Amino acid sequence: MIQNLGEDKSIYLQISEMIEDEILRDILREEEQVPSTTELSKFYKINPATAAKGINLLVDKGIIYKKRGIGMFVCEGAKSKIQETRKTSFYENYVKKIISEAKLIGIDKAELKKMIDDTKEL
Amino acid sequence: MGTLSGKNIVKKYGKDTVLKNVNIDIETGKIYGLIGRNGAGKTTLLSILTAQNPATEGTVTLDGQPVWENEEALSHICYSREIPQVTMFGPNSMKVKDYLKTAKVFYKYWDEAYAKELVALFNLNPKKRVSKLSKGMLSSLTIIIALASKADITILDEPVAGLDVVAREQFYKLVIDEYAQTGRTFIISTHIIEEAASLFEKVIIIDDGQIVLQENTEELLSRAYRVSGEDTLVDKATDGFKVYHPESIGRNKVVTVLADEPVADFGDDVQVEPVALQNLFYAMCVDDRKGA
Amino acid sequence: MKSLARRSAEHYFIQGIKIFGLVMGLQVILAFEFFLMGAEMTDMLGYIVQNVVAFTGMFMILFNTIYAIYGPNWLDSVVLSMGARRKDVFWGQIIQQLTFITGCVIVSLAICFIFDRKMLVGFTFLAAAASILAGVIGTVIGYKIKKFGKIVMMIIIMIMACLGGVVGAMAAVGKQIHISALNNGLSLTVIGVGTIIVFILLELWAYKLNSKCMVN
Repeated sequence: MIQNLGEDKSIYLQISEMIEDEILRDILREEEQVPSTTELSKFYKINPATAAKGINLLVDKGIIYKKRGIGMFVCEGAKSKIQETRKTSFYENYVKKIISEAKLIGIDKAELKKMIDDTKEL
Repeated sequence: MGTLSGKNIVKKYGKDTVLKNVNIDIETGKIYGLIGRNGAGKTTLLSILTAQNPATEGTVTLDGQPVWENEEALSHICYSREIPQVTMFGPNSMKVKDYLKTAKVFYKYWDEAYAKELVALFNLNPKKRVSKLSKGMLSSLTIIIALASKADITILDEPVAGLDVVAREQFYKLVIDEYAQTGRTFIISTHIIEEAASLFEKVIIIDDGQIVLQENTEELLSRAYRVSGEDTLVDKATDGFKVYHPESIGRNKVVTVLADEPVADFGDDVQVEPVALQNLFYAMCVDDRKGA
Repeated sequence: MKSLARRSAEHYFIQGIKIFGLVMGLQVILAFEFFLMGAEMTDMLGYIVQNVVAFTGMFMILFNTIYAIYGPNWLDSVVLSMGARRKDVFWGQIIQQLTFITGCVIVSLAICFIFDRKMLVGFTFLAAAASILAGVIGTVIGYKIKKFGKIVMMIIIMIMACLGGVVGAMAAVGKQIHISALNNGLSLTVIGVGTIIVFILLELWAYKLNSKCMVN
């Protein structure tokens, strides 16, 4: 959780996405405890109500759950749930941008395809 | 605890009308940011809300009861402002500990242990006279009194003026801690906006004696946009919206838009970015004729 | 937690005691000085006692006035800004002044009776009356200074001091007659009643000024 908060999105969304990222990267595993809203608010210097909103969003999505008196924990199957959700918005959030930038600088579909084909990451 | 409300507040000093029909509602349990230019009326408004200054017209109530000279209402309010180092008769020779002792007597819910902790934390020497304190120590004292008062509604008037960045961060942490623990209401007026913006659940902007807006910060910013691009296209895209502080360089134009509701799309001809609170405030309160 | 009125009263009471302590401290130093100065006098004790009581009287008036002026301009603002009501400040000032004056009077009277110098009793009461009046005048002046600024008031005070000096010079000529008349006790009652009336009128004025006052 080292990132700084940006201005581009609501803070509570950034908080929930950050936690989701950590779950995806296995930094937070299933059944592990998630930082409390107080800890989060102190760490990022944000209003505790905002941190709480981010946490509650994750609870609503079934990513984390509350153990009474102890704290918030990562749900079983959280990682795959997040992956599914993000897959559906991947085109909107990432691909569209690549295409529009490619268009702007004059990269054609073939070049773009080659870049993806050549990558060893996926 | 209910709402601290100011209704139809007008304040005149002689012929000068400093506050013009101000209506404000402070709900308890939230952290408020109060921002405005110098001379906008922030301190006057805060003094009136806390019965330290009589309003020329209008009423101030807490939970429906008038605040003026009301022991019960006043016991829930703390307005900590900058302590002058020079009084009418010379340097302020009160000692830090005298201040704290007086605070202990008059603030009903004063927490002496917490005050002592904070004095140690800020490295304040209780035996020092106020006139001999540095600007930073003066701010620290105001903060200590505000926090240790444990008042349900705590108001800090420019608490970080004079504090270096390390001390400022320490202050924000203290407020968050205290708020997380007790849910006290805080109203913080500040000029250093962007640092504190993420602390404010609600923000109040005051300009020229009037309240420009009082809203949930996140909700406000979700409707604020910086629209840029070719000037005619920008004008077209922002037609019908409230536009602030248009700036041009060559054929490129940038405007700040505050819409009544979040806007899904301004069209592909223009670039749209979100606006930080400080920049929104600037755009709304800068006087474009003077550029200042 | 005790009520605001009670806490306020206690606070101002303690302030009064502090001023009393300050004056007593000064007196101890002065007494020592008189002791040194009067070392060769025939009635050394009388000399010391006379001066101590006289100075206590003067200090009563002086310090009461100073703190009374200081109040609306500074110390009261601090208290007001911390949640006290204006009426707490108003009564507080009165409590502070009366505590201070009473303390000084008791000490002066004690000295008079211990050293059997009863003729100074009248003077002590006169000084007490004067300081009560000076106190309320000081409070009013304090509020006016706050409103009009130091310079205007200083000018007015200068003028009044000059007038006072002239009156004083005139009085010095008829001094002997005045003091013996006072010590007859008769005039004491008249002075007492007169003082109380003037005092009440001035306090009403102070109350009105207080009720709308602002914190700096």
